[in-house]
Amino acid sequence: MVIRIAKKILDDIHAHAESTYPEECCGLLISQREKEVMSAVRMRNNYPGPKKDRYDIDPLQLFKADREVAHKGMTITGIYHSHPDYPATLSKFDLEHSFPWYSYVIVSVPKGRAGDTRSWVPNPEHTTASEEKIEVLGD
Amino acid sequence: MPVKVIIPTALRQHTNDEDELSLNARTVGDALKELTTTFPSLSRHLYSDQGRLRNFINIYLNEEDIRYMDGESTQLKDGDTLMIVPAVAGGNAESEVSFSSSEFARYSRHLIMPEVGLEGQRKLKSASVLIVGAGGLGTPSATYLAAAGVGRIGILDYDTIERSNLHRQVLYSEDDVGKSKADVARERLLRVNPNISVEVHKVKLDSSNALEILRNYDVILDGTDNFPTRYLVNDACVLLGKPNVYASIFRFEGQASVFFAKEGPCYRCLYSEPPPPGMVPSCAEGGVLGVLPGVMGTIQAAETIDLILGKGRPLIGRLLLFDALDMSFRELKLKKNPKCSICGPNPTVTRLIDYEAFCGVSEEISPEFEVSPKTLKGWMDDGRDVVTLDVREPFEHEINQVPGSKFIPLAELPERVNELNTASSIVVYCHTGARSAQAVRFLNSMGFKKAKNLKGGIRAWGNEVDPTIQMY
Repeated sequence: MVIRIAKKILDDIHAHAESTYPEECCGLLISQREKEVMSAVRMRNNYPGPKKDRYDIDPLQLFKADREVAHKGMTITGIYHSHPDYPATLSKFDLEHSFPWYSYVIVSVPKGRAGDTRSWVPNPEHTTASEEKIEVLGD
Repeated sequence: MPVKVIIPTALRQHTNDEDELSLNARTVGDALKELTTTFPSLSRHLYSDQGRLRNFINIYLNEEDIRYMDGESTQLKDGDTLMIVPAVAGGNAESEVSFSSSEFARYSRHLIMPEVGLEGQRKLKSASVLIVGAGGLGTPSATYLAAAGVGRIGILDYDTIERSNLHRQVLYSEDDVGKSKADVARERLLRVNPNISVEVHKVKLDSSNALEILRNYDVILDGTDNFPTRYLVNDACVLLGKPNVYASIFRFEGQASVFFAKEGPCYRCLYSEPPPPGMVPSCAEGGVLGVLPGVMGTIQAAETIDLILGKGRPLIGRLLLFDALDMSFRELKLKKNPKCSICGPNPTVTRLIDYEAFCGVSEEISPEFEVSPKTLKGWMDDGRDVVTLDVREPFEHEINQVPGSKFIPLAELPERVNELNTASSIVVYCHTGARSAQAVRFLNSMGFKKAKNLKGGIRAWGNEVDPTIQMY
């Protein structure tokens, strides 16, 4: 499996991750055809507690974004979020809260600098996820 | 009833690429059943194996969560819109925040309140709080936070326990005098609640270590008793984007606020510059009602818990004033200062500075105008002609003195300065050395070139020279 992301978009995701450090950032990955990210939309981290290791996307904000995407004939293909000072792997918590229809792109942000970025597709049982390759376009 | 159901784009593959469907149903449950009957592959995404709506699927009826209505039994009206929205959440937080049966028993009075509940108690257990200063404010707040189940508490204090601490720092007992505050606090807090972890930082907080230490905590609780550290904690919190739960105490009066630059003012918005050194006495100089920090520290603990739970209306942008003599609470509104030097739009302070210098403490008095208690004792033993001058208040002078002292309270010094001889060698003292430093500066400016300050005041004299004097 491969997910394709233009370098410009990936840079923007990294900038977002660095700007919210030491808190987690989150956003949506929009595609037209499957697994080809056309844009990344920043979402507010709506988690009410400390955001250094948690994120929530406000359901109504997600809904509105999803409708806009739908009107353009596109789809939300994945969710990105950051792991400040933590590896770019799906945590147990990520997995438990995952949806098998999304790709989960995670940016590790050690000491405030965006680093390792990986993408995961969870299984419907929330027990494991398989990694998909990120192909950076226009590099 | 004819209603519309909106499917998230990611699930369109299960609905023949339709994202808006019309169907007839009486209740929300009926509508979902109808939907999954028509599109069976959608079912496992919405329902668990037990046939219950999945936890992380939100169903909204006209933008309202059905959990807050009648759930799946919620009645539908003609033209209603049902929305299926995934609850997207995650993060590297360990989700296995679980509780033993003894913890369930311990937190039961929290768990039964809807504002806390299991979710809130989990937040408390996952949270970390740094308590800067394990003194009058820090010990009651730490005790309640530990008891409440805050999972990780940091105690920052490099001081040792003195007998004069015990009238207000009730975590400590008589036989703790001389021991490290942080160590004793840790041991006591773990006895209060063994289910938490307590980290000890026995260091003096300064610009070189503050960011590194504070970075590891969610909430910072300021229990400091001096201006340099207070500005340092404020600035570090602003730079790190952390909430600073503040309180201060003096005699019978306390104040508390939450400085959180992301959402409101910071300490510098309120006090852009520190007062001149010596003008605002510390508790050691001016005294404090023992119970006062108990009141203010528990207010800080309550604010910290509100912040962690994300409930209530924290003291952001509000300064709470408490007067223990009048037994009154007042509240002042605080505004973000658009010219604030650290949290304003054009900050001039962009990293930590030298706070001792900023508060004028380090230049309080130069070493040549200071005398240690031992040196003074030597001079007296040698029979040198030296005048010792006590500038404390009369009730302090009654408690103890350096033998043979002249006594002029600081406030009377300007008008009684002619009682002193500019040619004399004068050693001025007070309780800890702050007021006398002011007196020395004044005397120096009046031409008393041989006036010096007794370093550490009569407290140091008692500790280093004459243990028989009555200490306070």
